Amino acid sequence: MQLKIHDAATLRAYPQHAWFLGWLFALLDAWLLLISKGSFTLSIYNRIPMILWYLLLAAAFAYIPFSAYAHKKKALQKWLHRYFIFTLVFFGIVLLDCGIARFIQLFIQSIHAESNPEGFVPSMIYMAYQSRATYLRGISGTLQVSLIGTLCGFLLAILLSFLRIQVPDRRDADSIQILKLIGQSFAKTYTTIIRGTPMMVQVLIINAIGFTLARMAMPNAPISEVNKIWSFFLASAITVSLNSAAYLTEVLRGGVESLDKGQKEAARSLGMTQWQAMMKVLFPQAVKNSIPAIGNEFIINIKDTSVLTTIGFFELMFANSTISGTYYKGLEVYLVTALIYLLLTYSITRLLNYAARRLDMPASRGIPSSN
Amino acid sequence: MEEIIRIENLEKSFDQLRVLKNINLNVKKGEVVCIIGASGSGKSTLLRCINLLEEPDAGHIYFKDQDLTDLSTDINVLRENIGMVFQGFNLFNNKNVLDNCTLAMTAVKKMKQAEAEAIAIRHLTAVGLKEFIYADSRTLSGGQKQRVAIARALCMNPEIMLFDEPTSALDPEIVKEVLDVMQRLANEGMTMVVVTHEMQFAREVSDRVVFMDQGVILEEASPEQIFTQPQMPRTREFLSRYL
Repeated sequence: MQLKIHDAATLRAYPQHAWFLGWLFALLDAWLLLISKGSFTLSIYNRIPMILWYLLLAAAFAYIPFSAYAHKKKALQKWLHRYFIFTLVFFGIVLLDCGIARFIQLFIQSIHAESNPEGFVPSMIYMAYQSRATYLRGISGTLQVSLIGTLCGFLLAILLSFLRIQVPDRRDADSIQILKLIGQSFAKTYTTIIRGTPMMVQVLIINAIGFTLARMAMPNAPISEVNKIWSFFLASAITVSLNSAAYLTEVLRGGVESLDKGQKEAARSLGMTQWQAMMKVLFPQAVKNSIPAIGNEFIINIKDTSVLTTIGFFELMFANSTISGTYYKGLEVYLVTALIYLLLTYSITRLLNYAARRLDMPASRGIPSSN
Repeated sequence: MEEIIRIENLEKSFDQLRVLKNINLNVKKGEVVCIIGASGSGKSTLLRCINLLEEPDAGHIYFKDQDLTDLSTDINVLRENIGMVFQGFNLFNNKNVLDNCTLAMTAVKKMKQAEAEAIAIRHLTAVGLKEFIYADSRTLSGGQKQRVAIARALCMNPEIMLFDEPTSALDPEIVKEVLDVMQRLANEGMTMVVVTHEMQFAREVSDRVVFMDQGVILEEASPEQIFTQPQMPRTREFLSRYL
């Protein structure tokens, strides 16, 4: 069925094979009506009046010429257009009534239930709602540690990457050459070790070391006193910072090395020292180029801080275990936790992409993952 | 005339490839020397050795009697007096035009910002870019960028200017505006060493033309001599298109 498309507006507002889409929508409508347990707005289980009611609504919408150019088109196009709108509206109403409204009804019922409902989804909703304080505390822990860890890690990474890119020059004094070599080796070793071990092991080690040191400083104090000095939060923040520093060092190093060689050559040709060229020309550009990567590191941290639950730090995974233990339910709680993580990472990714676009910087595609 | 650059027995290799073979060259104060030759002949490498962007493997380079190849020489101090203009402009991307010029003055010569800006504005006006002082360097055309690069190098008040194929990356229409700046510079008495493919410029502006081929200086003479009566067959072959 070939239709003449007269202009771009027609094409946009009016698909070529509207009749096909119309049938598709009709089939979807039928399916939704079949599986739904009834209408929310009418609250009667008699299907036929409901269907008639929907058809009337859709027809009313379809017949109203709310597009200004409708009268300009040929009769066949106009009817096809109307048919398309009709099925679209019908589908929309059915979706709203049998789908979304029913979900809202289910949601409200689950929240106000007296005890944990039997059904899977109602149980999820009930438990999530009842434990919202726990979840909030978990989210707060995760976000705090991720943010602090990323920022501190970034500052450390600036220092480490500076050490990392040093190259002993023939012309330097011997002491400077040795210092450069030591600094470079330290940075290399550090990043290798941190990147080669999982954060879970790192946090266990750091927590143990910190705890032992705190114990040594106050030999006879009870554990609660020691915890005031060396808290799980401190252990987690330090671990995430050191971890992020290693990864961001490589990012910054790549940022400096990916710069046009001419930038450094021009700076040196003007008489600037290695240090001046770094500080005034190369590093500012490398940092600016690396800002998207730092945002990505923040999002990766949100996910990776889940391992901090092993030392007992109250973040989202710890909340998960707590709630799961309270209700003796597994999958329902895990799914809610996963949804919360997804919400966090997705929304922050979108936020950062928006900021990146506003600041004219490259935005990431999809949710970043650790490599 | 005082000798500013004296190159003796310069050798440079990249891995196994000998790029510069026993180069000897002198440049006097106020002279404009153009180095011409085919790609790969070592012209750019020779130029970059003069301000030590490339480290020579053997030989000596004297800048006013100071040996650049000596490891104890402070190269940063010497580079203040040697200006360099690159084929790719190499303007600092994180700075605007004025800051590009003042950065070296404030960082290296430790000038006050106001004084540095005055000098920068003077040089930028001289190359015809007074309206672009606060422009982002990325918004300029190639010819404008190169003129900023020249002004930036001149702000350090060097005694010699090195030009590494300054117009090779430019549209033919805007090559002229850069060459005009260079010509004016030569007329003002600046010592210049220019690696270029612009034969017209070499013919008109230079005091001496050096022809390089495969790492050696094949011929060295006045422009009239080289362009009308080249001695070596390779020179004749290279210049056949321009004669």
